[in-house]
This record gives sequence, structure tokens and C-alpha cells, in this order.
Amino acid sequence: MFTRVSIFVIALSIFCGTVLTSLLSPEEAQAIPAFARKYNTNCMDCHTAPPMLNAFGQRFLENGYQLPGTEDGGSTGKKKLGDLNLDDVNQYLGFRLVGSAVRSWNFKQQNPPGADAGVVENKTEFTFPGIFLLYASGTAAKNIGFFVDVGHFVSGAGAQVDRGFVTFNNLGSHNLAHLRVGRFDPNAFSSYGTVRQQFADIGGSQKRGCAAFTPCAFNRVGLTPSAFATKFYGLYDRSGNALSPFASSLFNSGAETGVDVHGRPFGDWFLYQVGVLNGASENVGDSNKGKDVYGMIRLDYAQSDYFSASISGFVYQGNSNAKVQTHEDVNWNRYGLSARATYMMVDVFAAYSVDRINKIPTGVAGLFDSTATGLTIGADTYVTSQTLVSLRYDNLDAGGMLNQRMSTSFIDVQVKHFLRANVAIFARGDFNLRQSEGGDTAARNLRNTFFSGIDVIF
Amino acid sequence: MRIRTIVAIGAGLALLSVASFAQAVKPEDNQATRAKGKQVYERACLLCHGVNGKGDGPAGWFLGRYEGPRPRNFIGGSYKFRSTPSGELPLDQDLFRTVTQGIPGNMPSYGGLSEEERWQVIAYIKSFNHSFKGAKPTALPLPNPPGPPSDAGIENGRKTYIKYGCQKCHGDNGYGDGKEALDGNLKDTYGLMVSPGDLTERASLKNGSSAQALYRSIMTGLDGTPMPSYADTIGGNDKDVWDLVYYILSLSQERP
Amino acid sequence: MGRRGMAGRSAMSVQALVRLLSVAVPVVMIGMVCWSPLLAASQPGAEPDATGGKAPVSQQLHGLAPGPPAKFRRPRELVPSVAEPQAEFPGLAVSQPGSDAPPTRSAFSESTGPVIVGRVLYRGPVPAPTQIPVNRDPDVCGTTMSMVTLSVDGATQGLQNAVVHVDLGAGEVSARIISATPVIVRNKECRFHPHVAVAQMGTEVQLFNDDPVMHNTNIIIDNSTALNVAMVAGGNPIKKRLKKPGLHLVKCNVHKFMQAYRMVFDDPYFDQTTETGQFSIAGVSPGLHRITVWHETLGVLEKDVQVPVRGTVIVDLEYK
Repeated sequence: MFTRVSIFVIALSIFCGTVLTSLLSPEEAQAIPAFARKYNTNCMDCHTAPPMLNAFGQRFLENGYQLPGTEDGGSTGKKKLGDLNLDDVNQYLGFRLVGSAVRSWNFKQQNPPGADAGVVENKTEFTFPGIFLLYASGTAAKNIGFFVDVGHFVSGAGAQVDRGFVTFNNLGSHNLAHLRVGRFDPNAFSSYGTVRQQFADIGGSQKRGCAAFTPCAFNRVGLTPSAFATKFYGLYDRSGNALSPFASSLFNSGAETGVDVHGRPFGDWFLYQVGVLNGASENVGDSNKGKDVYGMIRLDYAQSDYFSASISGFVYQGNSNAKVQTHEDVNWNRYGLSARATYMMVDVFAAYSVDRINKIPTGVAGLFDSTATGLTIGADTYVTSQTLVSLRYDNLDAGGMLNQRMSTSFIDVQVKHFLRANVAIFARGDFNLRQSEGGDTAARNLRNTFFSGIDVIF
Repeated sequence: MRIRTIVAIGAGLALLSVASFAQAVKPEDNQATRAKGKQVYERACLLCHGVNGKGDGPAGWFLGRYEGPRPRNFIGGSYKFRSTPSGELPLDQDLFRTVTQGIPGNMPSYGGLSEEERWQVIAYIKSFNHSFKGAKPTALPLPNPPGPPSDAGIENGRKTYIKYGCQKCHGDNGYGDGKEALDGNLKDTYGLMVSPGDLTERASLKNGSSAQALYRSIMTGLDGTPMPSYADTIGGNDKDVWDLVYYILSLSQERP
Repeated sequence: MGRRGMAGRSAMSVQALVRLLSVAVPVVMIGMVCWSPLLAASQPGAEPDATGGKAPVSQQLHGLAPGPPAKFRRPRELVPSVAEPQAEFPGLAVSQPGSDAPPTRSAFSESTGPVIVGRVLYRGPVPAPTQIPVNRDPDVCGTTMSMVTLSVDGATQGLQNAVVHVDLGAGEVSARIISATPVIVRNKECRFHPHVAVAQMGTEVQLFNDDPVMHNTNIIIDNSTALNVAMVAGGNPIKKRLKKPGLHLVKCNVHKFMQAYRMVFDDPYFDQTTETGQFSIAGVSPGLHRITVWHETLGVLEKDVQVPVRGTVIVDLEYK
């Protein structure tokens, strides 16, 4: 295992070295992400600050990766050679490398109760960017789009974001209904999308060797948007693995298998979305036979000078999508609201969700808090054309097993400098607002963190 | 009965074939065309160009952020990519070319809209600026390029490059790193910083990179930017301009 | 079994929901397919609200375009405009005409109509000329340039290079022909000559380059290019027409210290003050009219003047 890790580290360091030296050379490597190549245009046509989308980029995504207001999937970027209609591969392949080169953790004490003994917590380490995503996306034909991404997380226990889906667009009439089939992010079209974060998800670190269906304490809590998180302590998947209260889940999980439909049938101001998922992050042919369903509505305003705003609300009904430690099924539901406003260089957004488990299984009756909420408020602003400052506040009001649950509140700050439109360096700090509260568990133990690294998109 | 059916079918087929032969004719610029153009505009253009055509749509700021260029202001803004003299309005064909080809690095190509839809949206875009009413812009003479370049011609082009002052903004080797650019002095008419074109990267040239496109850029200038028009100063002698065009094209071939 | 029963009950309610959706969603979608074309047809196609119309000339002098105030007005410093002269001068006080120069019948011979003459005065502090370092073409432009933006005659306190205009209101524009005198813009020793000039719309403008270096004459009005032509060293003079009324800023992009102003009006009732601040505007119609004065650093000054049926009215305008 050591050899594998070191070989990987060496390979990654060689890769990073070549990438960084080529970036610093005056002859610009004109590699730019896939859609910018395909449409011969600027990243900022669609993005406020990648990966966050502006109003134009949102409509491009909704339209199945065709220009808003058009159905150009069969023509743009295609070369007709006789009978063949060929794509340029570089116009739908791209990759992203993001993560920290420096990581620093600061804890109140080493090894809070329940955590692994001997694990050194307070540390500053030099490491290599830990998230590598390869994606292929574009239009196979007019009104048929596709997306595949393969994500590799070198460290941490963040949710695997592997998506692969096909879109069928403009069914019926333009913008009436768009269909997605496959494994996709249900939360792609709300006011605050899951996979569109300036702050990379930092997975928590749990005790090793926990048995199935037993509580598994944390060495270190995760740093993810509270509104998207699981929020419950004491839930397990079908195999008995404890669900991390900090992992993004349900409607906001980032990757779920199912079918959904969305559209703007009455004009740009109104978007609807309904979908059906396998739920419980399971693949097709799962064992529980119950499907999760959801519906989302969004209202948009994009008619004013440099200003746009939206508000959206969703309902997600789970069907036996988690278990408690007595192996009983629960229906875990979520109701959420999110909003966003963008004016010139300032972008503010917020999401609030309430998770409910309506029927508490008899095995844990009286021991289980059936409601949990999460609030995330964020803001990004460009202080210069190349420098982005981001803030995020998270408050997780945890639910679940009364003897385990611990709420958390964090503030995150990040400064990201774009050396080029697709190459950025960042420095980030996260601060625990509850560190002075009582309790020795992981949620009170993490004081603050510091990360610095790169975000490169080709 | 059978004969009637056959005749009916035959007439239908004839109509269909006529329809398929019909050219996409440029629709007349009237209220109905503009109304259809407005619908296209609201689907495809509004998010950058703004509901009032001021170039301030919700996605418009991010294009240049604190600098230029930003999406075109259709109400009073100057049009950069034209065939007409400096300070003049563009031809309809100029607008059609821009919508169809896009602007490299700034605006995607809208060839995905049908030709009719593109003419309709152009009619609507023109209605934002009252100066278009009754205006009949005339193009500068834009001849075809003369024969293939010669070494003497390219050398004359190099001398013309300096005589015309191109290196002051575009740099000694055409990278766009002239003194005015490096000092941050080049601003568009909105006071936003803009960069001169990198003449060594043909695909990045916004007004096109063919010999004719370069000739057009030099002769008409890019209104709204510091790039001036050279048509009047050369006194009808465009041999120097063609030599300059071939010299500029040679700059991109020399790159490794 | 309790567990299955519970799962079964909740499963059934979810199933019922799914069944309901599987019926309701197609019905709703079919409804929308039929309804949306009806909706689209009922929307009126309106002309866009455009502000490309002609602004009253007094507003042109202020350098502001008319139009409804934007709800989300972007702060001016974030979208810096081309260096505008001060549009407003704080603490503006308009002096009354001197009691020893009442508007009377002219002592001179009768002209075809009343004439407005007068002076524009400034008694405030005159800053010393700014010395600007010149860092381009020093053989031609020198190493520093002395910029005079406020020129006052010591003896009379008259202000030079102010532009005076009389607004006769709608419907009172005379049919006076365009003056044949062209407006000149001369590039000489890296300055534009003259620094300020006035002209009527449609007048020919002539551009010359007397320097052995390349200039470009970039004339900007209202955030758009009126004319941007290269003036190659030894190139031909260029003749064009100024087609829009308003304040034109003349700049050179390769010599950023070069700046001049051309004020263009769509009527002939204007003048530019001499070195001693004097101006004269003939051919106006009688009645109460507003005079507007513009200066590149002092801004705008307004005054109403009563013009008699014939003769000369003398007006003094003073910037405070």
C-alpha cells in the first residue's frame, strides 16, 4: 500500500510539475475547457467564476449543452465529411484538477473521545491536489446531450461524484420539457447547485474498523454545505456503513440514478423539475424496490441591468432510503429552499433545508430526533478581474440518535486568484464557531483549518 | 377518383419540391419581422445583451469583469466589425456575419439559429438604435486580394507595419504587447481597458483572419476601440495595405 | 412483520404518489403543449424602449443622456467613462447683468435680428499649468508638456475657450445655412490645435498631421466613435463631416496626453469666447431664452436672457 501510494504521489508530482511549468511559460498553452473550445469563446460567457454558472450558463446547462434559445446540438462543433458527422474529441473532453498543496489542521486536543488513538491531529502537511475529475460532455445530435464524469478522490471520504447521463431536450416545443436519464445531479437546476462550489468539499475522517450498524465516531468532521448534508447521526446504508452527517445527500447528493424532467413552459421566469430516483445512492436493480421522488420549482428574474435573481424550493420524498442501527428502514425526506442574487461582481446565495424522518422505527423510539436542518449562506465577489473572494457560513442543526448528534457551525473564507481564466491558486481558512461550547467530540474539537492549492481546468 | 387522387398527390409533391428549392430570402425589415426577432432575442441574446439592448444583461458583466470588452450596447454603441467607413453604421451583412460566426473569445457563433431567425433578430437589434432608421450605410470598396505574396511584398509590409504605427499597440512582433498596451493606456469608448489583437494567433482575431478580413479591419478600423481606420490616410494606394496584410499573415506562420 | 408492515405502508403511500404523478405529469404536459402556443400568440410585440432620440442641446452640454433612471444604477466609478469635463460646478451662482449695461436698443446700425454679445468671466484662482511628463516620441513631443485648461485674461478676467449657446426652444430654429468654414483638427508637436472649437452639425472637419510621427485622431461622443482615423506621418489630410450634436472628445491613442474638444450644435446659435472672454451670437429670435456656457474644467453655467425685438443685448456670465 505504501508503494502504491508513493508511486501515485510521484506520478502526480511529475504531472503537476509539467502542468505548472507549461502554464508559467510565455507561450500560452492554449488549452481551454471543452465548451470554450467548441464554441470558440470565453469561459466567462457561462461562468461567474468557474464552476459557478451565470444566467447564460444555467440556461445552456438546462438546454442540454446547447446555446440558450437554440437547438444547435447537431451543428456546432460537428464536421461533416461525406456521410459522417464527426466530433472533435477535444471539444467535449476536459479535466479538472483541484485540491490543496498545503493543509493545516488545528484541534483543541488530539484524539477526541471515540476517535482513533495515536492519530496525530494537529498538523501541517504538504500534499498534492486530491481531486481529479475527467469529464466528457456535449451534444451527440440535435437535442441529444450527454455527460460523463469520473472523479477520483485521493484522500478523505467525500462522496464519489460519478455521473453519467443522457439528455433529450426541447421535447414538445422549445424549452417545454427536457429529460435526463442516468446518474445525474438532481440539484443541477436550483438556485444553488451541489456541484458548483467555490469551496471544495472536505470529507470527514471516521474511526477505522467500525462494525456494521454501530455508531462510528469521527476523528475529524467534514466541511461541506450544511444545507446539502445528511444531518442525521445514526443512519446507515443497506450494508450497515454509517452515513456521515456531513456528506451531501438526497436531492443535493451530486449524483443519483434515475430520471427527471425539467422545463420553462411559461417563459424564462418559471422552471419546474420533477424526478424519480432509485434512492439510497443505489444503482439500477436495487433491493428496496421503493423509489424516491422529488419536485422543484424555481422563479427567475433576469430582466435588469447586470442583475439576476432566483428563488427555488423542492420537496424530496424518500422511500426506505436509510436504516437505523436496529436495521429498520426509514423514509428520510427533505424540504429545501434556496435563493441567489447576482449583481455585477457580487454573487450571494443561500440554501436552507429541513430533513424529516416521519415515522421513527420502534427500535429507536424515544432515542431519535426526527428533524434536522441545515443553513448555508455564501457570497462571492471579484475584487479585481482576476481575484475572487468567497465567504460561506454553515449551520448544521443535527438530528438522529440523541446520544450522538452534535450540531456544527463554520465560517469559511477563501481568496482565489486566477492566473489565467482556467488556472487558479487559492488560500482558504475555515473557522469553527462553536469551539467554545462544551463537549469533547469531533464537532467541537476542530478549531480551524488552512488550505492552499490550485484549481486547474483544461 | 383515382385520377383526382393522383393529381392531388402530384400537386402536393410539386408544391413540396418548390418549397425545398426556395432560397432563404432575407425577410423585409418590418414590424412583423422585428416581433419575431424579439422572440429570438429574448431566448438567445438577452442574457448578455440585456432586455433593453444596453449590453448589460445578467451574464454581461462577467465577460470583461472590470475591463472591456463587454457585450455590445445596441442603443448607441459603435459597431466594431463593419465594411463601412469609420463612424458609420454597419451593413446588415456585417451584422449577419457577426451573428453567424460569433466573435472568437467573446461571443459564441449562432449558426445554430436558422438563417431566417438570424435576419429576424438583426431587424430587432437594429430597432434599438434610431440612427438605423432610413440610414443606408455604404461599404468601403473591399477588393479581392491581389496575387500570392512575394518576399519583396512582405518586406514592404514589414516597413508599412512600422510606418502605420502598428507596433505601438500590437508590438514589434505582433503579440499585442506594444508599449501602449503594456502601459494600460488602451481603452474603449466606455473607458474600459481593452487589449490589442495578438496578430500571431489567427484564430483569435475577432474580425476574421482571412486576407480580406485583415484588409477590412485595417481600412475600416474597429469603432469603439483605439484601432483606427487607415482608409483615408493612404490616398487610394492600397498596395501597401495588401503587403501589410501578407506581412501580418506571415507573423503567425513563423511561430513554432 | 412489523418492519415489513411499516415499510409496506410507507411503500404503498409512495407508490400511490408515484402512480398519481405518472398520471398527472403527462396530463399536465399535454395541457402545456396545447396552451403554450396560445400564450405566445397573445403576447404583444412591442417596440423596444430606446433612448437614441435627439437630446435637447442644453442637456448635450451637460454630457448626460436623457432616459429613465436605472433602478440598479451601477456606481460611476466602476464604469469609468472617457474623461468627461465636469458636468456640474458646485456652488454655482449666476451674476445679474451689470446695472450699467441694461439690455437696450443697440447703439449700432440695425442688423437683421437681435444680437447677444457679452463676456464670460472668471475671477477665481487660476491653477498653474500642469506639467505632464511625455514618454512617447520625445524628439517630436518633447519631454514634458504644459497643459493649460483654464486660461483667463489678466486685464479683463475674461475666460477663454468657453462655449456659449442659446437655446431657442423647439420650433424656433432658423434656416440659416451651414457655415462653410470647416472645423480644423491639426496634430502639431503632439498637441491638437485648436484646443477647443465649435461647429454646426454637418460642417466639414479637416484633419492634418504636421508631425513626422503617426497619430490617430479619435473623436468620441456619448461613448461611441464619431471618427477614428489614422494620421500617418506624411499622410493626406482627411475631410469628414461631424454628424452628431454634442460634446466631442478628441484623443490620440498613441499619445495619451493629447486631448481636445469640439462642441457641435444642430443650430447656429453658438460661439466660442476669445482670449478676453468675448462672444457674439447673431440671428436669434426675440423673447426669453436660456444661455448655457460650457468650460472643460469649470463646467456648465446657465442664465436666462431677455432678447429684444431688435438691437443688441449685453450679457455677462461669471463662473464663481
